Amino acid sequence: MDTFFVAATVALVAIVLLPFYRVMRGPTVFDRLLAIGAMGAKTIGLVCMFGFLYGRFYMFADIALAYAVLNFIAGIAVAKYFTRERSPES
Amino acid sequence: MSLVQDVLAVFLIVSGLLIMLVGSLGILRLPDFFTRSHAASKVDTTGIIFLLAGLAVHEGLTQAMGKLLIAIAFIMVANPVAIHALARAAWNHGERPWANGKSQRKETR
Amino acid sequence: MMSGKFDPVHIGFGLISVGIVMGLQLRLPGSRRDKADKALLAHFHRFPFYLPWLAVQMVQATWQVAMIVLSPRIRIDPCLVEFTSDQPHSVARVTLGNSITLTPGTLTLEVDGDRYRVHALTRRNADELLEGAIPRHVARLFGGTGERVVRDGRIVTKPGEL
Repeated sequence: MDTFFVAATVALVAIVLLPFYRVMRGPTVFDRLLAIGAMGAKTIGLVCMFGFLYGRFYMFADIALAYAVLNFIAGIAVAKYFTRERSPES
Repeated sequence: MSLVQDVLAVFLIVSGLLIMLVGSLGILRLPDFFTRSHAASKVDTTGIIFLLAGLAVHEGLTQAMGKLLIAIAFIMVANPVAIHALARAAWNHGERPWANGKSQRKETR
Repeated sequence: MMSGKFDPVHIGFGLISVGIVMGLQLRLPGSRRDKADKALLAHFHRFPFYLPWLAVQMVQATWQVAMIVLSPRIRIDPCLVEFTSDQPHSVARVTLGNSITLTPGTLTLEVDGDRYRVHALTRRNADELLEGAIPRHVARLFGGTGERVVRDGRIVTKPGEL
């Protein structure tokens, strides 16, 4: 079971790194932001997996919850920022 | 009991990983911002829910499982809202959908 | 509560922080309680019927997007849908927007009062959305009758017409 968790964590790290291509050369700003949001959402799962690997899941569940809230608030804040300066007659 | 638990946990975790892989590939492959946000919202939310459900099954009936369930409920509400906010910002910013093979937006990188 | 410690010190700190947060929140504009709270509690028992439907929809949505992404030639026909849906209060509107995002092929772009603007991945998803199954489920969740929930729907395929 431990081997399985190590393998799953490695796979998850690879999956998290995939959208980084979109962050680096997304055509628009929103593509980059979307990719960053998706990476952050997957990182929640990654934090939980690390908690299992280190055997201290109680602590890492709290960290994952806090990270979920933080990711959500960051996404909302960035979206608000871009809504504020809307182009006229769009 | 424990064997059933392990098998179910492994199944849920692996399917969650596969779903998230599809989400990442979708973000890479789809042609414009709005279709990419389709991939990011639905597929990633489902993938994370599967992964966390697998971890909760593996954890068993403890307090950490309660926290995982709270995290699942929160992600299920919050992830679509965040992506909706981003798509709305993009729409108000003048981003327009891709239709029938050509982008409506001028290619200004 | 969640730390697993139930001695008076931890409970006291928890009560103090909850009180501070609630005091701050009551000072925010627009957060006064309206009738939505009572309506929400009145129909809370319907929620277990709504959740499995949403889960099935999410799995279907994932399957559809996976088929589109994994096929070698990406075959989509995106279009926009605008419609009006009468929902009893703001919580129902938010739930409807969220459900639209999680159901197959549709993504809420903008909610302006009762008017929704939705991006659909294929033409068939747009037609299915205008048939109104999703707003009917949400209206049923919040105790509506499920009659005439979608009005004034139109599908826009050329972005120039907006």
